[in-house]
Amino acid sequence: MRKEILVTVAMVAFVGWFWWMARSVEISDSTIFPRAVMGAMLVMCGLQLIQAILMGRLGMKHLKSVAERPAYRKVAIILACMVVYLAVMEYIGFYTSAFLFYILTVLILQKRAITPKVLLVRGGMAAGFTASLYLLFNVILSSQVPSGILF
Amino acid sequence: MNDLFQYLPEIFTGSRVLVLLLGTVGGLILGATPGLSPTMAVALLVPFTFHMDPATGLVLLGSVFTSTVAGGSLAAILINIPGAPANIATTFDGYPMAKKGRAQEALYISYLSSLVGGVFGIIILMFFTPPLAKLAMEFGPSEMFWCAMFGVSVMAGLASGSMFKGLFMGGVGLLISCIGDDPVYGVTRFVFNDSLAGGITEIPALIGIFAIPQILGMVESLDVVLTKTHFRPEKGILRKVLGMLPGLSPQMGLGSFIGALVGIVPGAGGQIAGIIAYDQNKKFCKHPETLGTGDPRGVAAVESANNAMVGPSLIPMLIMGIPGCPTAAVLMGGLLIHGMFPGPDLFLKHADVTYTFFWAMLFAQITMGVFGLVMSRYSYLVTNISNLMMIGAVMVLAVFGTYTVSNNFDDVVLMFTLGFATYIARKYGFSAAPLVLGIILGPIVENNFSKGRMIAESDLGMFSYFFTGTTNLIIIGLCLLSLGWSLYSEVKFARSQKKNNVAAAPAGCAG
Repeated sequence: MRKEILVTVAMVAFVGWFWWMARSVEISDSTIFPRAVMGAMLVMCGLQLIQAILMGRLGMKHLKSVAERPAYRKVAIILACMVVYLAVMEYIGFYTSAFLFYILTVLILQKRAITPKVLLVRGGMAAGFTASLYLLFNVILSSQVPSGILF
Repeated sequence: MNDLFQYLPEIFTGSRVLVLLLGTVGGLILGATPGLSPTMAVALLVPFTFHMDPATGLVLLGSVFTSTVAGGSLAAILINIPGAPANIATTFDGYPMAKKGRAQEALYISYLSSLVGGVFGIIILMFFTPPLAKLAMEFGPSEMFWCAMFGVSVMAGLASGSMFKGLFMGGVGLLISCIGDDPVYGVTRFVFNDSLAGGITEIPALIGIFAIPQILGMVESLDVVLTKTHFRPEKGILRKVLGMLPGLSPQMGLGSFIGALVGIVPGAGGQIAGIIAYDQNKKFCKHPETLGTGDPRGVAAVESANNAMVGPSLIPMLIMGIPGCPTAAVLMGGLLIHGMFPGPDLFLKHADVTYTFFWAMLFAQITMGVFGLVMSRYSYLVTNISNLMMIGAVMVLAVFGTYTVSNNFDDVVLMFTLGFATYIARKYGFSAAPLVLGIILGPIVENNFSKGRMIAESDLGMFSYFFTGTTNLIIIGLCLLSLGWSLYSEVKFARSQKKNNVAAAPAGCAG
């Protein structure tokens, strides 16, 4: 129940944030629709709170986990990889960063030990993937992608 | 009707046939891969259509939409994990059939039922959309406003988890759509970062909302060991299944009818269609006790329903801009980026594109059926595709798809931020579907609200304009009905959980 109450507080805070931003809009008529939406959202917050309390008293819950024991540590590592990938892309280029991100995620997530043979196989796969991206995006579609100091 | 047949040859150009075949085969493989939903597949492909003419782009998106829904049955039958939400009910009988050594039979039934249902749904789309579009021409701002609100209410109500959270997420989507310049007054609203000055671009938002949570979900479940059913393809099974078809026709008929009906309702989608069809089949068939134990009738009802939903789910989107399901919402994004706005104009100004798209959807169903039957024999290859390989690939495609919309790196950051926020929100029981619908429908709702307000203030007054008139009252009634139904489902869910808790309590005490 405590979790659901905290969720409701976050919901109210989100609406409050937008309400606060709406104050600085120059023409107030422009905020009529968003304010109406925010009003409805606040009603939902209230109803959600009532539901959370009632369900808490009856020992019931809505929340359930997708996997039985989600691998949150791996999720955190991959998230960090994604952030680094996006941060360096503009500096080292789309294709180089794609190659590095692909091989990094596979090596981090696989269960096998990283041996020279595994590294070679995974590296070959990542190179093949990047080459097909290049063929598709650059040669066939002639799309613009972020280019950096490297390829 | 003449227009429809006039554009039939348009589909037979070399590039469109190639795109149709590639889209169908690719869609079957993507659909069969657990963790990759049809919505995400279509979202990732929308930016690729920039490089095509509108008709060819829609042929690609339509064929992928069609075949991913059908392809999802493969994973549902062989590994008991639905490839797409629409295939949840396929696991009820499909997997038990596979466990009994009848996997090939189940796959053949699934693809043939998908073909029957899919063709039925597309025929409904072809023949009902043009007259309904003419009817929609009569709609004024108030009716359009309520139609869009109906879409949000249905989607929010049917979202997984709490109904109030679903409606809240719909509101979040509507607020997000307000970020940027107000189209009526020209002032800037809710811009808390300079990169948002131009508003939220829809395609990057859709890609982020669907791709990032799915990538992280795949990472979460990488350690889960799947029990795969292997089978050796046998000769004569297809002939046997073709012989079974007359016996399965009541299930296919019922499934197709229910799927088409559910598809037209804005916001419902294949998951609901499949479950309702399974439930109704249980009520109407002679020996319901065998359902759930590997009964081909269960597979036929569900698969015909979820594919019959595909065509009709596009009807409200094409005539009013209200998507019938999340994938239709993404497909609408594909229409918008080609400068095509839903409504009667699609049949007047862009008839060549619209009718070519209809024919493409029909041929996609047929090619899906044929390739599905062929692919069934080699399905073990598809189930062996590791999520490990998909994680990096999907992320890179998501980044490319986002960047290519306007060659702006800010969009990539927005895509990632929204995707991560959605991932966190999902952990707390918030569904992504109403958020997407809110973002897509936001401009329609606000535009019509503003227009309606101006008309109302100069004439009838707000209440009379928005809350009177037969059409308004019918749509408001439908909104209330959908909310009432969702509330009833909530109460039913709570009661069943209470009953389960009571039943489990003595065992817990004894332990």
